[in-house]
Amino acid sequence: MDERLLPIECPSCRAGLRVTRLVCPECGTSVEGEFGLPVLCRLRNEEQALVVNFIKCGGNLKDLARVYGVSYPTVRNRLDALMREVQRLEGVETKEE
Amino acid sequence: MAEQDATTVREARSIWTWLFNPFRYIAGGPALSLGLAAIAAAGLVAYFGRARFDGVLDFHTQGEPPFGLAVADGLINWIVMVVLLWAGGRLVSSTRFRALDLLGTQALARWPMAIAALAVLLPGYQRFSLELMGHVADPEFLMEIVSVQAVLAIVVVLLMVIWMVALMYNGFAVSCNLSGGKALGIFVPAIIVGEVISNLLIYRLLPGFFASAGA
Repeated sequence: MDERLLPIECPSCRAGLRVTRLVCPECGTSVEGEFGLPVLCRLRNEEQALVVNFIKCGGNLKDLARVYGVSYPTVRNRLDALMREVQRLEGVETKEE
Repeated sequence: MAEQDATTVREARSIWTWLFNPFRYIAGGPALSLGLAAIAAAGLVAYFGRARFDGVLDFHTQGEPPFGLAVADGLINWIVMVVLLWAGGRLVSSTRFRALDLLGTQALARWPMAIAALAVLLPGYQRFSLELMGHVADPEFLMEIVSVQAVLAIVVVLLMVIWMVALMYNGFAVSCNLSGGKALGIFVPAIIVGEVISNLLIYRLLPGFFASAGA
């Protein structure tokens, strides 16, 4: 399993990265072009973890708080911050289009 | 994304966070239970120390307060702040927060008052406060009766009040998802208004209530 993290921003100027090449690991066929990353892939790793855990908990914030070992309002505040981040990324996406 | 380990998330806990912002880890029902126990304990100890929490930020030694008043003071201070912070939070927070979290965090934030109540039990402070009654405005007399234990108790009480205010602010910030200017803009006026309202309730309403209940 590839343990490397997907880079989502340019290490030089911090702009969002785009995918230009995709490779089939079975036959080596590659597809080239310029593809934008979906919003979820452009979140930071801990934000992606929050989304995954939220789904795993069936959307139950109390269970999610237990997973993180924090209080209900703490986890709800993190979700609020995530909502704002998703809205911001979608706003950027709209502008780019 | 699926190939990354996204779910190892349980965060490390620091002693400083437990001391000054335990609400990161505990809020709602558990905080409410612990907080109410702390308020009751503080009132009980204060009663034996002949002291009262006669205002949101007040703690004064005074004569022989009735037992009911000593405990009711803490509850009034707590509920006044909850109502004010809840109203302020509703006004400026974009998060749909739970009243239960404010009730819990503001109750638990008052736990340092139990330590303050213990501090005034020191015999040196008790002697000091008894002798001081009626001579508050006499600095020379004050210097004659002051003792190490009295100074220690006063310093501990002051530190506990500061600690309580820090906890109250952090509890409010976590419960209502506010920070910086927005949080302070609500919290500071709420403390000032709360001080006035709690004093009015404690000195105008409570004595009448206890008098009619005793009659």
